[in-house]
Amino acid sequence: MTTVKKLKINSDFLRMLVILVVFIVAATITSGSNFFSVVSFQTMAKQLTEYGLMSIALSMAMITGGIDLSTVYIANMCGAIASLTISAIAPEGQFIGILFACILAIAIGLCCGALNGFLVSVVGVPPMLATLGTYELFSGITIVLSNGQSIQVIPQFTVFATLEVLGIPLPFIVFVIMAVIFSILLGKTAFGRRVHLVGVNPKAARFAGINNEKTIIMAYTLGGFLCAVAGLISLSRVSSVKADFGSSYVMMTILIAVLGGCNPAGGWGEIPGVATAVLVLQVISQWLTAVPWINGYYRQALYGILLLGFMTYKFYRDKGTQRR
Amino acid sequence: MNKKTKRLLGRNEFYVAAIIIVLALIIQVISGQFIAVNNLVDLARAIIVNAIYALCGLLAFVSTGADVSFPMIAGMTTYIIFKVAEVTSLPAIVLVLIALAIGALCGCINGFFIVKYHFNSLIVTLSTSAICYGIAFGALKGVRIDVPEAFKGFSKWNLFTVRSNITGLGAKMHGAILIMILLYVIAYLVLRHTMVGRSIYAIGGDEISARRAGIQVDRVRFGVFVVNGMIAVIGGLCYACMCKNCSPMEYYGGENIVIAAIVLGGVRLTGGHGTLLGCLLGTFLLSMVSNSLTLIGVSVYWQNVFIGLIIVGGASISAIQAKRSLKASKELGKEAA
Repeated sequence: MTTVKKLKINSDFLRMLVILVVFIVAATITSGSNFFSVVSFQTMAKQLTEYGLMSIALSMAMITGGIDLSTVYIANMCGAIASLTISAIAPEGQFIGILFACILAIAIGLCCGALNGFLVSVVGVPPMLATLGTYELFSGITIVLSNGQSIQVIPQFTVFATLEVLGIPLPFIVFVIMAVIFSILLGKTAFGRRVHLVGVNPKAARFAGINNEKTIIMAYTLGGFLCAVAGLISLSRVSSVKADFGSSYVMMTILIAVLGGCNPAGGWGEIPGVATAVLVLQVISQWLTAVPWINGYYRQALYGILLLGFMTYKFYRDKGTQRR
Repeated sequence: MNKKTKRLLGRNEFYVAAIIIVLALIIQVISGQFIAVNNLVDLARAIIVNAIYALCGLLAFVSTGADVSFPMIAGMTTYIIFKVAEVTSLPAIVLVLIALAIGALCGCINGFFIVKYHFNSLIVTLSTSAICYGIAFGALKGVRIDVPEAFKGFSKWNLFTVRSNITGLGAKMHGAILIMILLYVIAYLVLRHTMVGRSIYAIGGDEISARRAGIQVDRVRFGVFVVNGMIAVIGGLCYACMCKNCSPMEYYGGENIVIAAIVLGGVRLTGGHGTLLGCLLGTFLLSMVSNSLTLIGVSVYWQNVFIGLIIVGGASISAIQAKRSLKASKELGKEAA
């Protein structure tokens, strides 16, 4: 069983890597030499962090057999709270104040995730509906906090997103660290195994002595943490936050999770595949920006077609493996 | 008698109606404007489009699962039809038929992927929604356009105008409400009195049993999504004609409030449960909340918070009820054994 599973993980991950390389080569050829420049790599690395983290959060929810539509709005709410806290207690950018604001935002992200998990597992609300409700709720709270305007953050806070280590933007490093941590957490620990088992078969998980409620709450809470971090990074990159910022990310994160090998019905999915899928999507999106006759709106349509197409492809592939 | 009251108390619609009455009283006491004729007519006017969309939501949830594509199908199709009407001079009836055909086509795409591959309906409809969004904004630019000549008549069709003595304000009732009523009557007859209608509930309640009972599960499910596409288009056309212009952006994201409304009305997301009356009451309650917030002096910024709380609260109550009834039926089974 374990060997089969391992093979599957590797195939998902490897396929994504191959696709990534193919896309980078194709993009470099079609859009000229400026695609593969350092600057373009740096912009890509900065952008992908936000929805990359949210995709990991969504993937975790999907592995437990659920879905999380509220990721973007948790991020926005945490960003708004952090921004307001900073202007209230550290208008000159005192380090301790900023640190406190970040910790507060992350704590709130954890609470939001826990609320999702509680609704899904203990109360028994279908995950799609629970997170749809909290998504309205969180976006509503952000609107109330911001009076429907966008909130500016002090310039000192935006320094974070511009920092670089050996030419690699700091946000991207955060993404890589998080991806590694969560890969290990879901792939190698008992907790990860529980998350997968709850997604495959909740009844069997219960008979195996797993506390399903606790596991699901943990998964969503960790998702909330990732969203809060994503919110802080986007606040730092864009230097402002608005209730409906990045609403197209919802579609994108679902696409990434499915591309990365997660099964929307739960149980399957590993973080390395998801993380590579994030890179693939960023390359696609960057490549589309370089093509002048494709405007931003087509991107949504393309993501939709990609999602349906990839799921169909997987359907036939899985059918083949089952027969064998 | 006792049994009857018990059954009434067990129904979701009863609670929603009770909440509506209590809320109406509160708003009336605070603002004194709730039962003004113009407010009531405005409310009735406000629920038309969402009530039509609620039919899509009801059919999808009862038979299969979530459908979030109807607002964008409606938006894209209405926009295309208005564009077509601008360049050609086709009569309105032909245009409506074309619109229905486009809606049905979008529904076919949904139905195909959901029936053939058994994909999660939320993800499939989210994808079609994204594709429609891309077509409406990318390919067709998606700017605001006025109602074309062919629909001007319908757009200006007011049934009656009322003027309230309390507030001194007037309100017009748009003819689209007749379309809504017609759709609900048809839906009632079909869901209640035909094989197809009963099949829709049966496949949502227990797909395997339905299959064994000889119901063509795949065909019914496919049909539901095709019909959903057409209902969505009707709703979209009504909305554009009532606003006297069409901007696809206004349709974007309209699914949340509709899903909230039908969940309030007692539609269970696990399938097989839900009534038309519940849909109407749920839609009415939500419209009332969002319309009346300003009447009682609450800032409009709080609207999303309230909607979110209502979804979370309503869904929790119905989830707890479902759990309890499952437990009760299990205990009954034990006793019988």
